[in-house]
Amino acid sequence: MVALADTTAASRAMTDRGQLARWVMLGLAAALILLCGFSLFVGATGVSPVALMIDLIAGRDIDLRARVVIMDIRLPRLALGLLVGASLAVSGVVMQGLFRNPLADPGLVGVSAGAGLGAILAIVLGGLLPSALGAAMGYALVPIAAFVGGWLSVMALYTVATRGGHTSVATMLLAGIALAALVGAVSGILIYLADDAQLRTLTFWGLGSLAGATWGKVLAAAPLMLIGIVGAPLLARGLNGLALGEATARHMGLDVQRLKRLAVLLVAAAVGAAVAVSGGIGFVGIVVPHLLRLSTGPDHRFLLINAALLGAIILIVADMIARVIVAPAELPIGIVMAIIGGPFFLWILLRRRGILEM
Amino acid sequence: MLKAQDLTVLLGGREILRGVDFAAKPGEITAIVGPNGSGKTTLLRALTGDVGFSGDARIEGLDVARAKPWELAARRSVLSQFTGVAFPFTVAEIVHIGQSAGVRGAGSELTERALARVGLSGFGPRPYHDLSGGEQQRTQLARALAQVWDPVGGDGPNWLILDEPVASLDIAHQLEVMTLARDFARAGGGVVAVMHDLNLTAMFAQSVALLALGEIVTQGPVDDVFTDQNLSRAYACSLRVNTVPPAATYILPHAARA
Repeated sequence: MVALADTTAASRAMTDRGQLARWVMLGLAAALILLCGFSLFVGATGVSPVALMIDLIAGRDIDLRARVVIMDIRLPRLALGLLVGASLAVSGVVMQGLFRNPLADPGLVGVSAGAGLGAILAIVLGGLLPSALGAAMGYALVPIAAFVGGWLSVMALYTVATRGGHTSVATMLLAGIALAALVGAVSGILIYLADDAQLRTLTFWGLGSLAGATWGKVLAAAPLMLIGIVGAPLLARGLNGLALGEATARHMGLDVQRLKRLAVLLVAAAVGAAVAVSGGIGFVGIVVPHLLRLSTGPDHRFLLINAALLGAIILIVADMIARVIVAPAELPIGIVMAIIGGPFFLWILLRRRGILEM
Repeated sequence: MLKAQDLTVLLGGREILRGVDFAAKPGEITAIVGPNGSGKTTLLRALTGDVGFSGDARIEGLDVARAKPWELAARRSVLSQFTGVAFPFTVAEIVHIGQSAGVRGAGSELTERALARVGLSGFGPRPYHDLSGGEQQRTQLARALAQVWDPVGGDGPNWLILDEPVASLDIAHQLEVMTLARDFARAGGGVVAVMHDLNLTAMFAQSVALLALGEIVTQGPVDDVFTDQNLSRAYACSLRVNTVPPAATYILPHAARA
């Protein structure tokens, strides 16, 4: 009888955490929907989406300015924020699962930098492409170049930092620094070569912002980001297995090489596209997974979906702060995220001093 | 049947195993013993497909070098040494992952039964990282056990492949784990275990492969392999094989030179 009571306690505890994760998922989804609505009200001009809706429904003449502000400025910006936030957070979870380390964040280890180099190359040298090809690729050129840059840097990082399934955190972080330095140098050369219009684009892009959002940009980058966001949960069981060690994962029947290849591609797609459209927004990929593991545990079946939701929420909130804090001007969202994320990251290190010895 | 022929393993240009023939039958515990650096763990890692080798290794007809990971996983599970866990999973979650990551549908009931089987009833909700080394070892054993729960499946016997399953366990838990392996074998499953403790091996194993310097010294029934001469030669020190009434074999260290 005692054994029976104990074992039911075991299963209850396991399902408890799963149950909690499901409730958190619902809560996050509800919060995200509310925030999306709310964010359409927030901005430099006092335009209300409700008034616009009422006008629309009543069949009255629509205030043209309101229509432009809501439909062509705030809505694409909101869509971009959703996608970028979810992409960065999900990429963080996948990277951490792949490297089996909670510090592996695309921003910290140079993947964002690699993607950024791809984007800069496309911005500065895109004009040199045969004009037919350039026109055909249009807005998609920068995201695709960033995807390739991100992919190459994850591959480089993995080759340098991982031996026999074991990732050295120190090597990983140092390799990230080396990658970032290399990218910085090449970017410097490209910036030197750039003309005035390209320079403006580059500077604005580099600060990390959602301000330039247009439907064209959203549609060009959305497919790659969606591949990452929707594809990642399919790797959940695999990433759970990988957490027990590469050899053990293989013993349990996982095709580990395939899993790793897919994980790298998903991260590169999501981070590449996110960086291409929003520049350097850091810390989402480390803050979000960490908070979720603390509250609902590391099970990737819940973690990946919840990270997408919470990542979107955090980015939309940060973007609203960016829009109102120095209104009527606005702060680049990268700066807002760094102000929130920097201290948070230090707090993680303080709380878990042993993290580098893992 | 688990059968390996002419296994040679090269690591870093050095021959760790040289032309090893090895066989294990279901229904028995087959132990792999030998001194440090004799190639025991390498032989096990070849049998699980973790190191490349020349030669041929098959588990129930499945070619270890060529079979898909999930085909092998449905046939055998593996308990390795030094299994690090990356994130703060609970004990129950780890056992559950063992069933769900690879081959079969997962049931939390099996998780509970596997934990109870290794003496960890009630440990399910505990964080894995808070456990002692021995408790972590038994959690991993429960994970491996849950993967091939039935000693004999629909298409033949299943296998447990254990690398030093009783390392870091106290004497009571050593007996408990070896009894579990024996029960699995008695029910028709196969067990291959790398062992350090010769007395425990003599008590529980039916068949033994004795390795030294990357080669098989001899393989066969325990009483044939465990002789003064075989053991003293393999371990390069003087060992005496004795029995205590009623006829149980034990080995006492005798002298530092053969």
